[in-house]
Amino acid sequence: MPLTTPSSLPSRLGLTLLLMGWWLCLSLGAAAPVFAQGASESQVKAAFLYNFTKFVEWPSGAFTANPDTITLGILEREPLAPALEALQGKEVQGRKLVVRRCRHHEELQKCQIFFASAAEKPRLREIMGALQGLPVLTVTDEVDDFARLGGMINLTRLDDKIRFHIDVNNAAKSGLKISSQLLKLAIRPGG
Amino acid sequence: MMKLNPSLKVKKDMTSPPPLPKIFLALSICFCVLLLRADRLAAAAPPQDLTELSLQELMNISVYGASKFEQKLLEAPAAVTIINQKEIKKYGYRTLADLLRSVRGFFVTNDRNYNYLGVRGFNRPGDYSTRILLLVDGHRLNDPLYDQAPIGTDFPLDLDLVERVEVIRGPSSSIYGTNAFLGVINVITRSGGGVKGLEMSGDAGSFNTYKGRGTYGQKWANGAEALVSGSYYSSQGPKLFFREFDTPETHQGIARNCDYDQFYSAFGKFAYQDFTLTGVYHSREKGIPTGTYGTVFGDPRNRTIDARAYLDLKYNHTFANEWQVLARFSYDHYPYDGFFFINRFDDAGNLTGIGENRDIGRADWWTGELQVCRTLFNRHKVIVGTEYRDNFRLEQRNFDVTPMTSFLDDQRHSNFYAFYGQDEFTILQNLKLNAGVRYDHYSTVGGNVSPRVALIYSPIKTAALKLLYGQAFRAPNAYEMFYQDGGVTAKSNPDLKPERIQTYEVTWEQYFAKHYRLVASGYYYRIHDLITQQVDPADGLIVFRNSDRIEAKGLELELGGNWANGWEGRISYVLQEAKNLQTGGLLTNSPAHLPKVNLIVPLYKDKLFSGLEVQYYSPRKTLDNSHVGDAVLVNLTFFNKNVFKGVELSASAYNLLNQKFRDPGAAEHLINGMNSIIQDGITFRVKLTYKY
Repeated sequence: MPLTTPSSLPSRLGLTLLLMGWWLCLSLGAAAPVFAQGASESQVKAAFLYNFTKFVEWPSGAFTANPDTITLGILEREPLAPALEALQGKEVQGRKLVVRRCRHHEELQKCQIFFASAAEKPRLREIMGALQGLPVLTVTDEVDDFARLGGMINLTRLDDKIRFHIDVNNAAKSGLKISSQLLKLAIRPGG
Repeated sequence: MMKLNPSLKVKKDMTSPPPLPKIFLALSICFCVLLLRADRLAAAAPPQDLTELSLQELMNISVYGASKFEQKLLEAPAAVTIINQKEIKKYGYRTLADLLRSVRGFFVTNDRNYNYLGVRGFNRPGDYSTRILLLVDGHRLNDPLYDQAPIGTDFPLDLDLVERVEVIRGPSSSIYGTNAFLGVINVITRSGGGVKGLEMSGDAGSFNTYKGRGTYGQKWANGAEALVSGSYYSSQGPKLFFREFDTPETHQGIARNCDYDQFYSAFGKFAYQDFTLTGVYHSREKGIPTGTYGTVFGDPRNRTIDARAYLDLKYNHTFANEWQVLARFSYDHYPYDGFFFINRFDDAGNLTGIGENRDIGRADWWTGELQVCRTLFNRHKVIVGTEYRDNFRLEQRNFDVTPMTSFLDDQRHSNFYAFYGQDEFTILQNLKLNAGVRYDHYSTVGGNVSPRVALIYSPIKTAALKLLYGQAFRAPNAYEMFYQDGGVTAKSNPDLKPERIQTYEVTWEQYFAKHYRLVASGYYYRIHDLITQQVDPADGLIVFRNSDRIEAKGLELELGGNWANGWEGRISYVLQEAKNLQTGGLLTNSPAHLPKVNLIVPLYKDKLFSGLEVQYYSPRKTLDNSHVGDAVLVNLTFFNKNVFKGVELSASAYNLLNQKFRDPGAAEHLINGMNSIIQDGITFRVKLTYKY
């Protein structure tokens, strides 16, 4: 039986090493960091929310009650709660982030950020109504008609990546300024 | 899965393959250079904290949905590899086997009927990948008749529906029970919300190979999600030449229209609140061109049909953020049909015609599973669970069609129950102990205990040292215990015991210089009572016995890299040796060296990418103590997206160097003097996917 003998090995080995070397050279030349592996959707969305706070300017009166903290209000049954609660204690614009589960509209009205997933959509119209005109950044997750409901930012998943929409008008109505840097990264309306 | 000729003696492993020390040396140098370079680049930010990343970086992260495996890689009690959908597209993977070939330490053998998966030096010819557990969204695919892990075109899912594949090395019987012997592969499917709309895909490849797929996925405002998909695949297959059949009586060794392959499949997944219902149906028909089991060479009617169907209802709920409950109830159906055409002779030895032999397997089973997870005293993450399975139909038949002669008609049922528990104890902030144990009780072979202990130490935030000890088992399946044909060629062995493995492993994992992930593992395995097919010298009958003792040891190295501009890749090298302790010989089909390279290069913006793979297989021993030569496999894919909105295009070449390589065959091939099976040379595929 004519079997391939290891005599052909050096050339194959050489080829393998050559390709490996090529990869090595190329890889060491590249730049700019990225997270090494895939991550859980809820954690990434929470990280997005945290990042948004760096690009939003609240009106000066928004923090009068407690100037050292910034409060993120979520609903009792928020599915992303574990990931959001991990943000507790992080610093935002020189203030400490507090994550609070809220039962009543009055509690939410005292927050500076409100986050809700699509699971709470039946209640959103009513809640957003209660927050109308108040300096509360409203962020939703996978709520397609967030703008109509009065929301400002909506997170959405496209393939395996997270993207977001912004409604500047709703933000302006509440006295919030959203930086143009953030607007540049958002999905354009209609796009 | 069919009776063998009793005159066939499967020779034991005896000689050693040619040594290849140079590869090891060269690769060591390669890695050292990298490490030196790494040293200068060190002091990286910990990759675990996502909030430290910028928005641009976050937008580049691939996310995945929820699963049983939600640990960070560094904290998993095993060496884990994850391959995601993006890589599937950019490397042009056609089957799960293609994907697994690229994973460090894994190797695949193809006998042109099934694909067989090897890892840690272990891929026994004639074994249906029984020592690796294959899961789809946590649902077990290995059937109770043959324990087969289907990884080729018989894998019931279209690869386009896969979100990611988690490959967990080493034994996991302490959680999963039987089959989780050398590793666990968990395939996670895409969600309706991830698809969001209609997706159509078609591809065409060498040998008249075509595949079409239609998928619809949606997530509604009330949180309900649905995904439905259907696929059809057909391949005429190549015209093949087999030197073993190069005689005028057997068409000069040429097999035409014998390597065809065809499947259709349907998949549906519906999720609402805490419930997920999954339904799968897949049926594949594969021609056997190799004249196995002494069948008529070149007769295209020799074929197997394997179908897999299941319904799986899962409930996953977190109570007050403390108790996490997972319950699962499923029903599986697996029919196998083998069609074999054999020359018939009269008493004078004259050919009288061709007779049809049918080999049939039928299995139906339902499974119930309950798992509770809770964190206690802030430091203990405790999982307890129980599983029950009723194999209420295990049927094996073998008969000649005309005249109707039955050789085997075996009807069985069996069941097992299991309890397991695991505690992840955070001793110190950077020191974790993960200990688990599972008890399985089989109606056929009784009780079995599988413990596993892992100590995970993180001296710095970006690194982990893992010390692992584990025991695992595989219960003998119905085929191994009960396949017999009334004393003609094979006999049953109802006294078979489970085979067992003891493993020791050390793994070092480290992220450094923001872009790199390094994994180095060393392992030592001992297998007892390995279930092995052999011929009883007393009566010449084939029988499965708990006989061999095996020792396997190896070293695995991998460096992965990942950059925001789209570059990514990994380079790995595995040195391994698996030995039969009784004979002292090395195992068959066990390559000593497995270097691999994977690289994705963005060629034009975020639109055009190339995916390059290089895999080297060192020579492997065959059943008759010779060797198949080594091979360098190179695959190249160009992937383009959004040249028109919603369109993805790809073009791939597989085995670009057109290497004529062979995989070792099993006993059913050796009957014809075929110790190895020729593989495809260069092949091509183009693919178009459109999303509405």
